[in-house]
Amino acid sequence: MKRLRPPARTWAAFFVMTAIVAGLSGCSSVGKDGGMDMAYVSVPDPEAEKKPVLTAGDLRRLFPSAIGRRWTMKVTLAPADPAEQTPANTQHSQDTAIVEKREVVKDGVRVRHAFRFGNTVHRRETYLVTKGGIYLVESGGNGDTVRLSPPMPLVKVGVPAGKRYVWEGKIIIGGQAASARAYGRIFEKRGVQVGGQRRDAYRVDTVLSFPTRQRQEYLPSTRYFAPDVGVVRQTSILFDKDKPVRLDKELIEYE
Amino acid sequence: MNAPEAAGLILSILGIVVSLYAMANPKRRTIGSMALAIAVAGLLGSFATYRFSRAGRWLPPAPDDMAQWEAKDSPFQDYVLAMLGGPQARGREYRNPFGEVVYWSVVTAGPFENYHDPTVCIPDNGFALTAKREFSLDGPGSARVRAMIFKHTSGARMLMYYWTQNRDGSTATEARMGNYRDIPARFQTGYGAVVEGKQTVIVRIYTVIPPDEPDGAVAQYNLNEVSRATYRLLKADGRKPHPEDTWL
Repeated sequence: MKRLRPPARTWAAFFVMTAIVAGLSGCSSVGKDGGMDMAYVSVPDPEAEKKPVLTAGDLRRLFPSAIGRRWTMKVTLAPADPAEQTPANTQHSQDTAIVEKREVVKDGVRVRHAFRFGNTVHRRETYLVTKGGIYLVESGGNGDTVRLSPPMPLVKVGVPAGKRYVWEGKIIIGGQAASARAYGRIFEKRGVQVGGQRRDAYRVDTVLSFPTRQRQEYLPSTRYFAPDVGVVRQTSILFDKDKPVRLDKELIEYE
Repeated sequence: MNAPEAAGLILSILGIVVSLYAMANPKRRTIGSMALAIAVAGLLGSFATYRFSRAGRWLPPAPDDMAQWEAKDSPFQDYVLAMLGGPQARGREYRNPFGEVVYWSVVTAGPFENYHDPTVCIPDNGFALTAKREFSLDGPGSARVRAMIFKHTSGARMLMYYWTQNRDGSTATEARMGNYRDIPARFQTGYGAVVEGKQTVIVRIYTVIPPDEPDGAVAQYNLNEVSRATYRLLKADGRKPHPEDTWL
């Protein structure tokens, strides 16, 4: 019986095809890793994600509180929706925050900031700085002070990047108390542009929600805390006649 | 198994029996051999069609119990499902307390037309692919996913994670378009569906990085949170028996 053997040409074609398929393996149409926006995607590291962003030692540097310290900020007020922003409905001004009062209390240091437009104080904010974090105690202008009980955490020590912390307490406006809830989180230091300068700062997000007669209010804000300076940038969404407005503050000068 | 698939299998088996009977007669051996070859090809084809359709019959649930995330169903529009060859699908929007939204979709992966790679579909409507990176979602040895950044002409960026996940929990990130470079991945899909009987879903989870964000840390944190919950839920659901499971 005649033995059937494929001709040499068939074998050659088979090997060439095998080589092509092998060469294509792992060569997908989406190509290799890369691109101009690679800085926006990092490789997740579950172990590193468990590490806290701040220690108690870092905290002291984030909130300089000597009497007389001042921060001059450029303030921009505009509709929250970028599509609605025009030069006509965008206001620019300057605001200066000064450490007006500092007192050592049982659990930390209580610091009061006075905010000025020119020589007029239009707002005051009181913070409590403990070993565990930076808390907002009260804020407001003349006659419309808002108090948070217990103080609401802005920055917390020992929390990993991005992990949300929850606060539940009372918001007291003009003697009227209502239940309120807030969420906060902190992210690792990163470079942010502040007044044409790049500064390393921690991003801290807070959102406070509480009921009013009309609706449930949500007041989100983002602050960037730079070591040895304090807040260098802040964005808040506020409501003006039921319309959301965006308040941006950017550090110009720090003494 | 639906009626056309069953008819295909029965007719093919019938064809094999008839052709074997014909081959028993020496006068009809040649025609019987040809008929047998056609019937066997038909049987294999029917089996492959059935297995591809079976590969797309596992539709896992969406995560419902992620702490501090509100979920809202966001069903696929009919024209999108038609474009994808009519797979089963789920769509969701997850919103966290900061008002940030993560868009979530899972599509069953049966026939090849169910696979539409985001690198091909999205770069219309003002988007361009500006970064691509593959990694393990939950540390070394865990689910491989493909992260992509699509930059819009407005300056906003979309960060998307894409992967396919089998019921056994294994994942893949390769594109499976009708491109010569995707032949190995398509072969893998065909072999997995037909020979190994794998059932697969295609996962796309994405969010927006606002133009004023200095990096994508917040967006990526949110995406990691939703994607990890999804991967773990799919893995757990894949191991459970389902009423529509078949032995074939």
